[in-house]
Amino acid sequence: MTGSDLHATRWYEVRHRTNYYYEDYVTASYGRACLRPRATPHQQVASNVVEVKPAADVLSEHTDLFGNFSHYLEVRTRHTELRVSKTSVVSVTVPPVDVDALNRWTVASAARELRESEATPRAAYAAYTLPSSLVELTPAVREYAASILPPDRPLGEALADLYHRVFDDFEYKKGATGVSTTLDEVLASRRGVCQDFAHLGAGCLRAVGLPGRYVSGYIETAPPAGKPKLEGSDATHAWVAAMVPGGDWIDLDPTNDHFADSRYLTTAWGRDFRDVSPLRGVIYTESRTSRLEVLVDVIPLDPADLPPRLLSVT
Amino acid sequence: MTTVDVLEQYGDRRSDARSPLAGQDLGTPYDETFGADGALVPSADLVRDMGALGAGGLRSLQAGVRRLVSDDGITYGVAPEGRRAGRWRLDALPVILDRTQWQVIESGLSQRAELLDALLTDLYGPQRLLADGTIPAAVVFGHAGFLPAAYGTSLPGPRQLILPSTDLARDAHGQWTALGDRAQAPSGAGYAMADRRIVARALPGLYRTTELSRLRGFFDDVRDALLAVAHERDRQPRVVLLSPGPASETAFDQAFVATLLGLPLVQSEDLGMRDGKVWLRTTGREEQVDVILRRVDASWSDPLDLRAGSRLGIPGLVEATRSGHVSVVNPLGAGVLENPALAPYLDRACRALLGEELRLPSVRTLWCGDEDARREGLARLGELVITPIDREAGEQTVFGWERTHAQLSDLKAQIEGEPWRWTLQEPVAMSTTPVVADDGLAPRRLVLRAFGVASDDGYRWMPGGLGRLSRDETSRLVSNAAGGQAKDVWVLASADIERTDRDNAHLWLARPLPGMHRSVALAPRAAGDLFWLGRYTERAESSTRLALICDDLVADHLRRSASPGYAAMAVLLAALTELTTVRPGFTGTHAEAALATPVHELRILLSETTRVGTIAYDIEAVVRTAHAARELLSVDTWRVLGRLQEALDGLPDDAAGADDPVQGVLGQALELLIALAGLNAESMVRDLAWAFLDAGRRTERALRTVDLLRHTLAQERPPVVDGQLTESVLRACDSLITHRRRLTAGQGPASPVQAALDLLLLDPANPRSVRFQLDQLEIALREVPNVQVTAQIADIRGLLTGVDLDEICAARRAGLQQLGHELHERLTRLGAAIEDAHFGRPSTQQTMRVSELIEPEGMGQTMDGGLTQELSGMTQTMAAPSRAGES
Repeated sequence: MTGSDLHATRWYEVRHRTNYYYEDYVTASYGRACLRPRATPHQQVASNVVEVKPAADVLSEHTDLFGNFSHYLEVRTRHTELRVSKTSVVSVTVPPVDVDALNRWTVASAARELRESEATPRAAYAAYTLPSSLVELTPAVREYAASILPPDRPLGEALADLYHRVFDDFEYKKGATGVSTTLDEVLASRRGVCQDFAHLGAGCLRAVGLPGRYVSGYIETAPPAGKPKLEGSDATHAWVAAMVPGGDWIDLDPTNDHFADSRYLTTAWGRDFRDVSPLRGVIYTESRTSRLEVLVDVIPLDPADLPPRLLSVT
Repeated sequence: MTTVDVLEQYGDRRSDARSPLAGQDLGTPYDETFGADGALVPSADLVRDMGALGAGGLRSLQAGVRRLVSDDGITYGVAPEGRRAGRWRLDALPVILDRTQWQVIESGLSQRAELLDALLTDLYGPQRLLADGTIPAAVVFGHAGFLPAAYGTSLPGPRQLILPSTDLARDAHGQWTALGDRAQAPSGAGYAMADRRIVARALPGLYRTTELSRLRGFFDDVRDALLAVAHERDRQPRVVLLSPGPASETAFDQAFVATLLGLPLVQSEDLGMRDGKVWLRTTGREEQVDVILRRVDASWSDPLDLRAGSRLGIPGLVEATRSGHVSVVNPLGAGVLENPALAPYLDRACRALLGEELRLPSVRTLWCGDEDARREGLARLGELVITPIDREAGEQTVFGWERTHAQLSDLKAQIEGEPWRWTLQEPVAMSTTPVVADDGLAPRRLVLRAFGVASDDGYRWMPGGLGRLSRDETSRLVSNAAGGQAKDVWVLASADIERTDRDNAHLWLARPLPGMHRSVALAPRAAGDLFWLGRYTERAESSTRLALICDDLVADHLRRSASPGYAAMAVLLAALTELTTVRPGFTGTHAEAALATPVHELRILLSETTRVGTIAYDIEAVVRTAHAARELLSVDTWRVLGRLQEALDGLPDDAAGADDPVQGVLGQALELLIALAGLNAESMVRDLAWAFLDAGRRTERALRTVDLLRHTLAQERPPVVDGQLTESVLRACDSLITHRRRLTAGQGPASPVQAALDLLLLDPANPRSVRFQLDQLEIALREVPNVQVTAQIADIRGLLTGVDLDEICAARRAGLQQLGHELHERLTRLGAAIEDAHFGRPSTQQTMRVSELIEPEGMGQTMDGGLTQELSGMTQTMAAPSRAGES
């Protein structure tokens, strides 16, 4: 794969299945989910199909404060299994990041410009600069941020070093962290998963006065060398985006050590994971345990195979 | 002390109460009685009349107020001892404002409410004020009261802020200033009304001769406003008041407001979400809820979209408001208006939104998120009031001048770390007002909480509001939680306004109330509370009667251990232990020791409130369940319950050497329990509330009677002992006189034991017989028929009908023992059947697992094991006390 390929338009079908298995009946289940990818300057959504089993009594959609599609689902059919799946066809065209252009700013001058310029969207600026429940700006976070994003460092270089340093300094380790792990804990253990690294990236940006948002989505992956790709073997992914002067956003992936490219499929974004969790809910049951299964497939499509109906949407 | 003395002394005291602010002397504060310059203001004539009472007269006036507060059951928070509700503290003297003064306040408040309403509408909609910088966006996004989940939701109609509430105090010149706003779920309107009722009774002459604006019209307006925001237009909207529960700090206020508005008082578990709509579960059916008057803080109101794991809300409530199926008042997210950091921007917001200058000044506030303001404020930290924008992180308001240099440095560092979270406010002088003290009148700082309501033509305000006072003479901290007293606030009216208010009061009675009036619906939880109130009341009464008779027998027979009376006494004491289950008591190997000091054992029943089965425990349970069902009970209930608790509290110490420490208390308690039964019988409408209360009482009485017989007459003893015992049992069941009359008249069985059994088990005419309880139970539950319950009642009655007294008394009463056992089992099952049929709760609410671990590569994850309840396992302190383990 050549560098330019990564920025050309790519087509994907994403299948995301979430299955819950309970040992006793669930009498009612209420859920909040992101079941439709948002359109972005770099992404078009050609189709999106949602399935819920047992059939949902209510499935409604609205656009939330952050511009994401948000879904409410209510299932009152008694069940021991709940299956929620969505299948989306999207096209992604992410141009390369113009690092040199960004380098005309320093971290400090960019922060000042964003703070003072009339062109900065004020609500977004505030929402993504303040700490949030999973992105706390503790002394440890500030210290780590200062080591990567000193005031006089050129902005483009600083952003590139942000994904690189987190990639270098932290070990990717499944199960080391959970849904409520704090940034201090991540910094202390030097381990985590993409979600933690995205939170840390956002924390570093906010600590120096740059808006940083958490992006939830998918990434195309290749199977280990010489092995076939297994069904359900992809996963959801998370990375971070930084607002730069003018109000544009630069997506960067500390988990994989590069800026985002056309292999990155965006579902939703927010201040942290809590704003955009793929599916959460409240259930009524006496069941003591449950099993959760998440199956994701990111399947590259050849546009030539697509029905014109889908292509015309773009 | 004479009148002049009392007033003069007060004058001196308030002059001494200068504001202890660092480096500033604000002079003698404005006084509500003396005005700014020390001359009595005109409306203070009324206070001068009070002064005429002298110190002693004032003290007894205040004692009268305390008694009335107790009799009305007005509670606030939890008493220091932790188990009982704390008592509301009210000063006898009203604060008096004249009409003109009030009109100025009202006009300022109305403009402020219009402004806050426009602000609220903007923040959850177009956010123009944020985009153009009128309000710094960080003020809003940094505040815990701003709920992104509620973005895009709105109430139908022109307004979003339905119930504004503002705290006011006077500056050094007497000018009213807004200290802050309550918009989340304003509390206190009910207390204001309760205060008025008390003061009106404490000062009847003054109250009748003063032309006074009444409060009732305000509640009329609230009711209209609630109906007006319903989306539903085709039928009468159903409105409910959602409470966090009877353990909530302001539970009284919630229940009283519900009563004044005629709304059902409900808790989370009474409501369910179906088809994106909210339903009220009642004992009969489900009814759709159109409007929720919310007293649960927004973040606890929806475990799906807001605080996960909350048991105080309804999952999907935010969504139901978004889709227009339910209206919540104040709307979810209105708490953002409580942010003190908005104050510096209200001036320009007012110009931008209303094109007017702000009429009611806010306390001068510096928001530290603004660099210039921060610099100015930090330089003068020691002179300012340091207030976090919200209480999310647990910080409290701090007075800079009360802190040491080192403490101020720490605060400064804290503020510089998160500047947007802090505001610095100029202290407000705050007026003083006299309160009744032990030796006359003493000054306290006054904060006035005003209550408004949206109407078609703007906002309307309760005339006056809730007066709140600092804890002591020097303190400036005004908080009910910190022990501050309340004041009734009188707004003098002109004669024609007075007439309008009376007209409103008339309308109030004439118009049907929404929700409550036409309906006999009762939430299962409330029905359960009433059923258990009935059971506990009867349990307490029956234990008390039995203990009283035991105490009599002890007095007569304790020293004659060979006598039949002694034997009967021992049996009855053992029965008392069996019935109360307070062991070992007079049973088993402990019996001998207990019989040596029986009064000590009886004393345990009256003193140990935490031991299940004691009379003290049952009475606490009566009070607790009564509080839970507060809005459904007669007002006189609280007087009786208050005295009942006092009676028990008055139990002399064991060591005090009183001749018989328990007799008097038992007698008093019994009298009051009988009064309580009388209240229920005579003052309650025969609706479902009464039905469940009575069902509880009947179930318990049947069980108690059967158990007493099982542990006394079911065993044959020498005739002379049996005779004594029979009499005591009949006394304990309040049936002795009837029994004697019948024996004398030759009616019924000739054997005294059989005659007693006939009277206590089978006689359908004796209101104490088991048979009678079954008949009454059937009548009580007629409105809510249930196949199981009906069948079980019939079954037990069948068992009784088939009883042959000769037969069950033969063979040393083996048949009676068998019958007693059967009846006990079946009655216990009947109680359980009633609970299952009518008080069933939904399954446990849990938080769904979140697929938290997201991975960019590798195998699809399959996570198993682990508990799902990590969040839902939390039980809020406000949850109702569990009845687990009691039956």
